[in-house]
This record gives sequence, structure tokens and C-alpha cells, in this order.
Amino acid sequence: MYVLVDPVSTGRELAAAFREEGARVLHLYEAALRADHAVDTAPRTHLLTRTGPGAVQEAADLLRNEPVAAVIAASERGVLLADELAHVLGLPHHEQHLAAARRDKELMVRALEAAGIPAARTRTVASVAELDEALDAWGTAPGTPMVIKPRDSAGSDGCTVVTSRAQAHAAVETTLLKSNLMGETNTDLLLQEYLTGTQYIVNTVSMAGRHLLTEVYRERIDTVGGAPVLRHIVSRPQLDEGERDLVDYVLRCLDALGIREGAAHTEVMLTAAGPRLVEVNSRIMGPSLAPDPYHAAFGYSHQHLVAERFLRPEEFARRFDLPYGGGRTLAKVFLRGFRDGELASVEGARTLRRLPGFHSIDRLPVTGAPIPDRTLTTGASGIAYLVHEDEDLLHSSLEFVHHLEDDHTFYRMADVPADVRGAGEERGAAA
Amino acid sequence: MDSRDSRPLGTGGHLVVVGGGASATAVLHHLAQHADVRPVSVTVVDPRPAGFGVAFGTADPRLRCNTSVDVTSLHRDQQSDLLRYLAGRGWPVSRSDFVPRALVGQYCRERFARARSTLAARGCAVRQVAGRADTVRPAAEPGRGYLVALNDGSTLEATEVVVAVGGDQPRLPDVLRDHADHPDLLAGAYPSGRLRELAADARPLVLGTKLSGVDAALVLCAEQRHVTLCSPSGELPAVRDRLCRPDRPAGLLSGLRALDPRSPGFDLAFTRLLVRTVRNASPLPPPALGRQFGTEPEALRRLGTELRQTESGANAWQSVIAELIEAVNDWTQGWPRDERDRLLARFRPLISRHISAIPVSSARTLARHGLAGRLAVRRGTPVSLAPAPGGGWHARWHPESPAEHYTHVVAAAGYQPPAVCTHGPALLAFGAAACSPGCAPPPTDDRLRLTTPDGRAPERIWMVGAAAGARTAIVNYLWTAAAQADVVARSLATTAPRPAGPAAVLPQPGAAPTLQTPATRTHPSYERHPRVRTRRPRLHRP
Repeated sequence: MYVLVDPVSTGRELAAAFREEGARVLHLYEAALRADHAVDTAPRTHLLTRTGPGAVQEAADLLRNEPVAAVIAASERGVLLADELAHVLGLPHHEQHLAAARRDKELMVRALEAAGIPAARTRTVASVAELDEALDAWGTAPGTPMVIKPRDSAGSDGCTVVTSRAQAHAAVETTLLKSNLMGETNTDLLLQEYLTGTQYIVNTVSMAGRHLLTEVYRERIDTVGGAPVLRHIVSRPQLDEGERDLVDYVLRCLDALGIREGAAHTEVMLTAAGPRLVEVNSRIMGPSLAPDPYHAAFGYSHQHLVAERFLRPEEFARRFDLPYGGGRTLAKVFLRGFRDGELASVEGARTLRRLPGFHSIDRLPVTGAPIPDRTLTTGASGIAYLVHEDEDLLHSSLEFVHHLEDDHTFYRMADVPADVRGAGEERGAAA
Repeated sequence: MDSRDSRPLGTGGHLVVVGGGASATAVLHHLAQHADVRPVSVTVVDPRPAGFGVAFGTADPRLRCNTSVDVTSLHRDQQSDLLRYLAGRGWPVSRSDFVPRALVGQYCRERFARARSTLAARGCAVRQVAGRADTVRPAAEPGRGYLVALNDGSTLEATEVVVAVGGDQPRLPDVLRDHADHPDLLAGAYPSGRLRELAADARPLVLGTKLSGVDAALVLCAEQRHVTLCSPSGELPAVRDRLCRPDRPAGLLSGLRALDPRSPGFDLAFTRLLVRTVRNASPLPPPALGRQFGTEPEALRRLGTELRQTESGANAWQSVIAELIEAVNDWTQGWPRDERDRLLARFRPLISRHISAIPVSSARTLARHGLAGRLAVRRGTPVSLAPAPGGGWHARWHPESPAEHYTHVVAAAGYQPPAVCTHGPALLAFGAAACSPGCAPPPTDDRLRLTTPDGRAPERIWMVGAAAGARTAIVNYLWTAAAQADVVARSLATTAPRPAGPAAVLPQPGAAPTLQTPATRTHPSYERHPRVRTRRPRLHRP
């Protein structure tokens, strides 16, 4: 039996991949996920009642006499519990002594430094006074951009780019002690050197400490109102020299963080000084993993490879001898609406669906309600997938869609005056 | 390259295509349709991804073609190939629609890929080299083809060369030459992303009121910026809601052929011909001419008038524009270029803003920006433009007038025609290697093959699109490029190779088509009258 811990977010897609294979699976939920557990229709689920170390013990007691083959973190929330539970049950797992470093962004940087891997300057601050102390210690020149973000959140939540001490103070005061996307309070924040370059995603699936490179994506991140906004990611079927170095760097990071089993989703910036880690997540990629576009592009999805690694390890092992890439290019667009108000119509969907490379749209917002999470990377404002052999053609389609979004003609809001509708009102092919 | 044999393309050979935009794509598209064309290799030289070009390479939905789907096609079929492409993607499109340029770029890109696949299936390796060509020279050994030197120092060997370069260098007015690298100067309207990045409170000055200037305004005004367009004429293009092939050709070409461009009454006769053609263009009685054209001196007021005229169906002149372009191109083929250009320059005020008219939807948007006070159009250009101390520009419209401040200057007066010439030992020199930035492409024969001044046999070098400007008057028109591509592809498929040894005049196979009917290759009146008058005709007031 396989235990999927906290199968929320894309963990549901991971669970579906295991279900497709007919595997015996238990969906194990921590106590805080009562609502998610309540709507889970899987044959076998369990909601823990205790929290903290007690939860590990409760889960271990539950499973001690079960034929458990593996415990797998099925979302960011489940990472620590899955590690500890696997350790207690004597199952293969990541290196236990680095568990905190895999979850905490400052400890992550310290682990890299300990392994001699270059990392961005990072410090935790819990007050404005600590922020000032850190800035004084760094001797940062005025105007130097820095990032302030929750120590423990996701999806660009609370992430702010600041270029002055006053802005930094404001960002700390706005974010500290506020509730974050994970439902927790930001008791401290991360002050990080702002990395300039191109951000990448490197996905892997590991088996006994050996890492299989599954996908590399280049990200387009715009700055909107001082905050980074992810617009799209585009896969890299062929890697150039700099990207190969970046992948090597990521694999070293995985080792430094004790990753040994299952999925990892790593974000890394390719700067002029070389790759610099943004973060490693020891789970599959979020926030949406509709499997079909990935299969159309690569012949597999991240979650299906995790299932294969545990259900058919011999088959999975063959992949270590195969070359990376060669598939089609996949683009994942985080659709955006930048205006307030209720969604009147998804005007741009007609256009998007006729552009070269269009594959599918996932999680399209409903009309008659505001667009949720308009600038976060939760996927709640809609995700479009494009797949094509021709990367240049794909980029043409991507730019076209982004212009529609920026012109407020992809999502038409009820309170948008008619005179700013722009291209959406044109007759003919774009109508 | 494995072989440098100068074999015809039908049985092998190495084709190098200089330029990778729509004209180059049209040539490949046509080559792929000749089943007997089996080159060993086709190499496209262009710094941008092949197919898109500059104007069609923009991905901005605000920017539309000003030619209808009907004539925006890589192939001259009864039904527009673009129409077929768009229908195949699910667009409810009609032949008269003006679609976003980006869709045409994608169409060209996909047709390029299809042509590449078709040729690949015949054993031909099609590849692109990201770079620019500097020169084309004869191979060292006579009859062994050509050497195409690239700007990275490398050289391609070719048995045949197609030159399909377009203008991709924005025209920069003299007053800006010393500030070409200024960060607040935006050279060209494309790609539009740079314009979109300007702050919402920017006050840009756009140099140019024709298509590039209009496109710049459509992008810039959308974010409530205050934009000023200017040009010597201060005129915006006219407005139309279609540019289609006529259902009933009006016989313009035969009318033109009957005129003598050197006769004293030519201007009046030409204007009368146009007026008569417009009157006959519609099966219904057309509105009076005075109700088809705006006459206001102020550009935005005139735009509003012409917008209303077009929306009310009063615009009959637009029905003859496609035929007029064809007729002018056919009529003037083979004329000495300078004389042709002088003649067309005289009639530019009469026909240019109608040939280059903008889609009614773009006109509507411009008019709205004008009414909202976001757009102004000025006649004249600044006598000086100097970087302002705190950023932006100081413009003076007269030597003594106070300076006006603009946050940015957008040079949107179109693009320089490609610099292509025969220069020094090179059969062709491009761009920086050409004799000057303003040099004109050398002449071709009626199959668009490069001819040499000494009258030897034409080279196995073909010129299409803007590079064929010596032979064709109006080249920035995909329908024209499609016709040229057909001629070039047929010629490539059927023309015998030049034998090794000294160049010889070879008889050409009769099957190869020409771009025009033989009777119009050279207008006989040119032989009688070597000069044309220089007086400008009146504007649409017969």
C-alpha cells in the first residue's frame, strides 16, 4: 500500500495517477485538512486527529501493521509528515537530518552553503529592527533591489520586491503577522538578495538518491505593482550550455538537501554569476497538473513518473539511460485579469482556442464572480496549456494572449467601460 | 555542402534564400508545390525566426493588417490561402476582414514549416542560419555557383540564390541621427512591447502619421497616454473596410496602357481615368465623389469624416484599390526605375493615402482617442530634437519657438528599403556591405533574375518582395509577393543551369512564365519620351 500524505493541490493529480494504475492507496490527511478529507471520495482515507509529533505517532500506530510500501508527500503541506512517518516506519525516505532544510527557506540556503554550493544571501527577520540590522550588516547600497517574502508560504504569496529601506519597512509591516496562503501566520519573513536573470523550473523524480531530470521550464515573470507575477512557463526540450550547467547545479542542490526518493520541484535563477537556488520543493509541481498536455508534450507527466517510480521501479530505472528531451514544447500560461469587478465573460477564450499550439484550459474562473488570486500563482485565475513542435510559433501565441490579458480583453469585467475594450470589439477574426 | 555542381534545382542544387520573411516563405511555399523540385539543400538566412518578418512578427492584437484576407495570401488562388488557413483554425472569417498582423505571421510561419516538411520528404534539407548576408559573389571557379558571405564571417555555397530581404531598419530622421542610442528614443513601432512598457503618464512624440505611426498611436493611446503624431504632411491614411480583388475588374490596366505618361495632358487623363473607374466600380450608383473623401485640413476631423463615409457605405473608391495596385505594377514594369519613381511621386498625394488606408476598426479607435484628447496630429516636424536634461526630449517646431517637452520620441516613419546593390566585386552587397544605406536593388529581367550591366546572361539569382523594387513599383503587398514567388519558383524549377566556363547567353525555356505580359514589359512611349513632367496632380478634384 502507498500512503499519500495531504493529497491536496496537485496531490489530487498524483492520487489520480496512482488510481489509474489500480494501486492500493491511503490518503492520509493532517488534522487541519478536515474539509479536504471530507470531500475526498477515494476508497481509503484517514484524517489524523493529533497535531505535531503526536500526528506522526498516530499515523505510525495506524499503519504499523499495514503492508506499506512507501510514504509519499502529496503536497507541500505533507512534506515533513511524510518524511517523519517514513522514517518511523523504516521505509525509504529522504535524509532525515535535512528534513527542516527541505521545508525552511533560510535553512535551505544554509544547507547549500555547508555543501559549498553558491546561494543567494538570505536572512530571516521577525521585526523591523531585525530588518534594519540585517540591512546594516549587508551594507546594501541604496537602490539595490531585495525580496521580502513569508518564510513559509507558496504561490508568490506576500512576495515583494523593494528598492529602499522605506519600502522594506512597509513590506515587513504589511506582511508580518498576517495569515499566509498556507493558512498560517507569518511570524517571520525572509529577506533575500534580489536575483536578476532568468528563472527556471527543474523537475525531477529520484530513486535511491539517483535523480531523473524530467522537465526544465523557463519562466516569464513580470513585476506588477512591485510584486513578481508569473505569466507563463515554457519547457526546454533542448538545453543550451548554460541550462545544462543549471541542471547540474540543481542536482547538487538536491544532494545537499538530502533528496533521495520521489518528486522534487526546484526553482532556480540563472544569473550572470551562475545559477542560484530560489527553492527546492520535495513534491510534485503545483498548482495545476492536468496530465494530458504534459503527455502530449513529453509522453509523461511529473505525477505519472512518480507513480511509475514506486509501482514499476524497474521500468522507471530504464529512464536513467535515456537522453533528456526531444519532445514537443509545452507552455503553461497563468491567465490573468488585472481589473477589479465581476467577470462578465471570458472574451479571450475564443481567440486562445484558435491560436497555434492551443491544447486546453484548466480551472477557468466562473462568470458573475470576481477572478480569484489575480496575481498569485495558485492557478485559480485560470491556466492555459499550449503544446507545439515550433517554439517560436508557441511564443507568438503566448505573446498574443498576454497582450489580450494586459488589454483587459481576455477577461472582460462587468464594470469595464466600453471605451477601453480595445481589440475585443473588432470585427472579424479576433472577435 | 557536398557538391558545388551548378545543377538545376529540379535535379539537385543548393539554394540559399537571403531573408526569411513573408516573401521568402512565399517562394518556399511555391517551390514545395513543384513536385519535380528536389534541391539537395535550402538554407534561409535571417536573424529572426523564419516566416514572421518584421510587420507580421508583431504579436499585438491591436495591430491589424490594412489588406483584407482576400489579398493577404502566399498563393494566388481563387480562394485566399490565408482564408483557408484561418478557416482551418476555426475563425469565422470573411474575405474582406482585416485580421491582426500576428495571425498572418503565424500563417506564414506554419506555411514555412509545411513547405520545409514537403521538401524534406523529397530529400531536401531545409535549415535556417540566424544571421545576415553581406555579399553574394561568383564562386572562384566559373560556373560553380555562388558564395554567400555572412556577417559572422562564414560563407555558404549556393548553386542558386533567392534574395528576399525586406526593410527592417526604421527610418531615423536627420534630427535624431546624433541620438540614435538615446534610451528615450524608440526606433520603429515594432515590436510593440517596447511601446507598451512606457509609463501611463508618458507623453510620447511619434514621428510619422502613416501606417507605422498609426500603429504606434493604437498601442500608446490605449493606456491613456497623451500622444502626438507628426509628419510633414500631417495627414493620416484614408479609411476603408475592405481591400479585395474586384468582382468586376474595371479595366484599369488597359486604360493606363492607353495613356502616354509624357504627354502634357497625362495628369488630367490619369485623374479622369481614376474617377471614371471609381464611378464604375459599383453596380449601384456610387455616392458623389465629394461624399467619398474628407477635405478637412485637420487630420483627425478628416479621419472622422472618412470614418463616417466608410461606415455609411459611401466609400466606393476602395473597390478599385486592389486593381489599381496591380495595374500600376504591371503598367510600370520595365520602366527605368528613376522615371517610374518620379511619376509615382507626383501622384503620391492623390493615391498613396488610399492605397495605404487603414481598417475602419483602427480608424474608429484613433478617432475615439482623438475625441478623448489623448491623440493629437500635427503638420510639420520639429526643427530640432534634443535630449532634455532631466530625461525625455525637447522639441522645437520653429527655430525661435520655445521647446516642448516629450518623454519619448518614437521614430515611426516606416522602414528604409533594403540596401541591396551590385558593389565592387560582389554581384550583390547587402546592408552595411552595400555602397550606401539608400542604394536601390539592381535590375532584374522579367523572370526576376538578376541581370548584369554588361548584358550577359542573367545570374541564377532571383529577387522578390522589396528586393525586386527595381522592377515592381508597389512591393509591400503580399499579393504582389505571391505573384513574384510563383514566377521565381517556376523559373527555378525549369531554368537550365549555367554551364561551366565563361558566362553565356542561354535560351530560356518557353514554359517559364513572366511577371507580366510581354506587351507591357516596356512601355513604348518611354522610348519616344525619355523624360516625364514633374508637376504634381491635384488631389481627387478632377
